[in-house]
Amino acid sequence: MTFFEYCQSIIASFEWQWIVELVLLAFLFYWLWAFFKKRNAVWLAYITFLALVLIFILSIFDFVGARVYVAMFILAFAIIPTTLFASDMRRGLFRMSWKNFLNPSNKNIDLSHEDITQTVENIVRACQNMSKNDIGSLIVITNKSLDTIVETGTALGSLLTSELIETIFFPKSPLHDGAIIVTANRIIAAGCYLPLSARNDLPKEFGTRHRAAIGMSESNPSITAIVVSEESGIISAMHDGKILRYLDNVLLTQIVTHALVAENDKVEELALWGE
Amino acid sequence: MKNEKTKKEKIKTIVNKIFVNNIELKIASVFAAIIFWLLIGYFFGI
Repeated sequence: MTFFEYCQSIIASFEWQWIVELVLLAFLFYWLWAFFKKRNAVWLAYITFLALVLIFILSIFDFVGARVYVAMFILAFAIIPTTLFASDMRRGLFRMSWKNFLNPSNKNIDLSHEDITQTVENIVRACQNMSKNDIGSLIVITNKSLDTIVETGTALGSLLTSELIETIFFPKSPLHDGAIIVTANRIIAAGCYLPLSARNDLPKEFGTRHRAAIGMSESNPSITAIVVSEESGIISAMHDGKILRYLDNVLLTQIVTHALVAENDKVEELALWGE
Repeated sequence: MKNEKTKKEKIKTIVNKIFVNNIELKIASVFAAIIFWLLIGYFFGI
């Protein structure tokens, strides 16, 4: 019996139990792919889907090697994610919860319009105040989980206010060195260490703080980092390795709002960031 | 409370979670499940 005939026979003698199997399989695929997407590896989901479609087409035309390809696909699908995300999987297994299991790719993005406005106002006000007083700061805004970064700092999970941001970055405060991670209207963590950018085309006045912000935005294209320079008070924003400097209130509001509402990459890229 | 979400916003959030968020992954998962199930059934007779 060819594969095509097998598919026809399956359709002809369909049983309700098979629906249950298919639903369970679909959930498994969705959960794994959402897991990849959450870790900025959505390409892995696309590749596995394309590989499956390709094997399906080869099977329909009765290619001899199709059976081997299926076996290879199963092996690759088992080995590659466990190798790439070994540490995430280990951490995930220890912290499993039903809420995250049912919705792994976005866990906290249901802010009301008022919440967003208030959060944006607080961030902008804090940046303006710190800029006036030449207090250096680094704010990372993300809608994705940054567990590995959060673990380098001190977990907070507190409601975001401008006073809290200014207190954290006040010189000589124990948490002022490092970045704060903002998700929705919460400061998830403070004093976090970020990966530094290795680029050599950056302006000379960029110090470690700016390099960290650029490095972070390069390794995590979904985040936006806001930096207030300690020397000049200039406010800059970084996104996907791109830099915008000398930000005023209006631009900063626009950038922060976009960063907060950019849910699951559905919102189009802000025109400000260019190509 | 001032910041509490309205009923409309809550419904919108739920609808978004089911039909909008990651919809491409959801559709692809269904197709992938069918393809994978057929291939496994044919080649390995499970």
